[in-house]
Amino acid sequence: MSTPDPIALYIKELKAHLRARGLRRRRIICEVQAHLRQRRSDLQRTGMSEPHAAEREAIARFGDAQEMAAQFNRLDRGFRPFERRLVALWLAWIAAMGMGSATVWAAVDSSGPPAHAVQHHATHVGDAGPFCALAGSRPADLLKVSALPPIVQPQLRRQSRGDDHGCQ
Amino acid sequence: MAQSELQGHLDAMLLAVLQVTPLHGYGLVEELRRRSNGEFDLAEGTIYPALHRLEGSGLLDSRWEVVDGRRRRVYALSQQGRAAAGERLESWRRFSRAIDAVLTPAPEAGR
Repeated sequence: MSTPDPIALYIKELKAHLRARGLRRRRIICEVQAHLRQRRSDLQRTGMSEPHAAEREAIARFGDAQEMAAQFNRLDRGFRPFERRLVALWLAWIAAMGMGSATVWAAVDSSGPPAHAVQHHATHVGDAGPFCALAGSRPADLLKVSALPPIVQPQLRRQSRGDDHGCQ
Repeated sequence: MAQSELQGHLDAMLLAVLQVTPLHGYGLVEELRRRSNGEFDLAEGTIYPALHRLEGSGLLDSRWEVVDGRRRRVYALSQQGRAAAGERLESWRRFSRAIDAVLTPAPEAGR
């Protein structure tokens, strides 16, 4: 059985402590990996012929994985501007849904039409439709990506994938 | 030179090196070492959080490029970064002159 590659082990440890997700996570991993590999190549070229020794030296020069992750994590404290906008949009969406459903129920209370008539109206009238369709949702459903406005969904899905592959 | 001494000046040094040409992280480490004649031998990984922070502040732009067959994130000064680099250099020169003036023994006056 072959000895584990020190750079691969380092990246694994970095990943374990890194809080960044999605594209940002992938970018950090790619940058670190590329740096370590280039240092290994340069060390080998200048006489450190044993590959694992060169990798260990590259890692020693780079710094402790846990400390590196902590430094990146400190940058991620709080929401970044894009995420702040996303959360604001999501809260606005929730508020709009709440107002929409309140309007519908107020209409039901005041005019008193049969419940099936309101439901029919809610699912067929243009602007009120989405609000009414979600008005009966359980709170947990409202937290799902599919409950968000369509414009936000692709970005959120991309961010939630957390794929670390693809760097050379 | 001690890591802690270097850390306080890392941002200014990175901006200064990038004034000359866009570089990836590895290139920046090598250039810092070369310019300091090997005196600045910081933990190489520490420059990446600094680069990300500077980019987050709008002082750097970055993009992926293939350099020597490897995909690398290359950093360049933004317009705001160029102005900041000039300001930090000027600020450092004032600070350095002042420290130098304090540390250099003055000729004894009045004797």
